[in-house]
Amino acid sequence: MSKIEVEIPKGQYENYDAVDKVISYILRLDDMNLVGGYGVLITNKKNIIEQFYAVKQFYGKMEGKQIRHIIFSVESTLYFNPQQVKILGYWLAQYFGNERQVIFAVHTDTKHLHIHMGINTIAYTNGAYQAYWQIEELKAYAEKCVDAMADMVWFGKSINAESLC
Amino acid sequence: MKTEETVKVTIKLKKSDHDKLMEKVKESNTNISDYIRPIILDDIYNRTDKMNVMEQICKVFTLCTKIIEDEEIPKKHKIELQREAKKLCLK
Repeated sequence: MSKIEVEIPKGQYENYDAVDKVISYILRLDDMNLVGGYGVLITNKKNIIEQFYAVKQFYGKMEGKQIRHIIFSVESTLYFNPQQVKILGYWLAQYFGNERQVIFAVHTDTKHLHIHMGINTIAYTNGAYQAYWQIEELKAYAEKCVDAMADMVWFGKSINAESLC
Repeated sequence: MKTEETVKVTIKLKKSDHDKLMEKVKESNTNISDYIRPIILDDIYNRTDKMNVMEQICKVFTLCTKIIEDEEIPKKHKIELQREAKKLCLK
């Protein structure tokens, strides 16, 4: 396994309840200490789902893919702990978060800690719709974030997260 | 369906709510500069033509989330901040 694997699960995500299902899955381990986001207030599952819909309703854009679901799996031999992976989650989320709502959670129920991330396809800045991102660019960015996290965890370096993007 | 109009009315923060928030900050003896000022200054009353209400609120939420994540801030301030920010919550 490489340092970090990036997976976009198959699925249309166009159903009226796609946002509910994805966010429910992201938050299924029910540990809000390992949940983070951009453009959202971290409250509870129901309210976060409402926040996503509010942006769509504000711009009158309810068609197409409702949410983008991405999974980032971190290589276990890096020995990052869940809180460190949560910080990594924020660094990864900022790839989208200056324009779009992002909600993510660290899942600890498999061998490799992984981050499930949901991104609103409607931008809160201007209502622009985007449902696809270049996977290779995203992978390159994710690896850069993991390298920075390794520098911080293993070598005590301070990282300016904003410089990663 | 006039969804956009309804949402805009629902999420508007009244001036009286803003004043109440400032009063609560004063009563809690919180250092405004450290905790609340960036949010108040950035709130929807100061929006420019370039930023719409939704963008403003989402950016405030991002800021609130960052502050709440800061371990150095006392828990009671985090709770208060979240309680006040939740009034902006979008329904």
